[in-house]
Amino acid sequence: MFTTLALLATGAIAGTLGALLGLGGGIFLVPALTLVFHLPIRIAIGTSLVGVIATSAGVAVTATKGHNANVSLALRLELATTAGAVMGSLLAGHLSARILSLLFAAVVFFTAGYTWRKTRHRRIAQGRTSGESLLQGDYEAHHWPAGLGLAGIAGTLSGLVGVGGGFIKVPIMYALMGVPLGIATATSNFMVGITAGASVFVYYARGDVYPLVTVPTVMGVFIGAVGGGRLAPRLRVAWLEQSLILLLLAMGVQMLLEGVGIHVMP
Amino acid sequence: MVTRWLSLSVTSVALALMMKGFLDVAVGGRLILPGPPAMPIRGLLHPEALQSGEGLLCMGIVILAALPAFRVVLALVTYLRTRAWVDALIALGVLAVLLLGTYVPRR
Repeated sequence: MFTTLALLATGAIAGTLGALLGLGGGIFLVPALTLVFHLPIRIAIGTSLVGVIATSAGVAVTATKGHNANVSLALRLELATTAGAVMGSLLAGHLSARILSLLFAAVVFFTAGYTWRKTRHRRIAQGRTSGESLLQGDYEAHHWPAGLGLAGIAGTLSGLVGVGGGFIKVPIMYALMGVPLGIATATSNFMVGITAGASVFVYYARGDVYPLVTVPTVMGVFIGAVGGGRLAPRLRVAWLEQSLILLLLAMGVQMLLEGVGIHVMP
Repeated sequence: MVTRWLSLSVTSVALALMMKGFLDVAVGGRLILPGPPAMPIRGLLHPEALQSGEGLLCMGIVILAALPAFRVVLALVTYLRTRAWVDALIALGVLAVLLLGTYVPRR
């Protein structure tokens, strides 16, 4: 029973952080389940994918008016992302746990770098960018071939390591395709659930989803995501992002060590 | 907001099934982690599967996992009603890929 409660608490923390920081939560769940609960990485990834869907649902339930996703843009990119996600999840069945751990470590370091850049960018933009321009309606997405190609890579990574891939999708839409940041973030939140939905059934059918692990974790994730979604407008997330970077770096190192066969967690 | 309503209803049904299943498993003394892997989806189509706690847990997971597909269906219906044919075709393509993911042989 203690382990079940610990899974619920872990899910709640991942869901809260995911909703507050615009991530799917998988980036916290996979290391927690493998390093703390000593679960095989494929089970952790299968659980994480259901968790990403729960985070996306929790965020949708608490979404505020005016922060609407561009569904048409999301679905166009999802054509490439879901195809990549199915391929990635099929490929994950043939890769060793060590390679998956190393891949996950690379994704964690990338996310830490992205979060650091985002924090810096936001600080610079404060004062000169109004909230209105973050959500401006008169834009046209461009660089479609590159955008679709990178979205496919984001999907493949999502299927391989069980994350939503929002840390790649937002920069694709914002920096490459010229979508305003607020719309890119809302669109990415809509997309991560669909991407995870494409991979999760591959893991389920392969026998990598264990209900007694998944259910308490996902319940925690949903509670956390709803709570985080309600907290987000009232909270300054800058300090949270800085702590997250440190946490991600620590998790990345742990996963890297797991990948090379050194077990540091008791 | 239809998306919000859809997310809330599907998630509520999924969580209710999960909670009922979890209680059944816990009361039956079968709460030993990590437990068995999830039942195949085809197995869940038999009515007797939903009489066991494990079946309810799996059904809850499958319903929650299908939520993104429901959201795509909702978008598809909206596009069809507004005669946005290109967007409808794209939504159909995404749905096809989502369905493809369910046709994977069990290990």
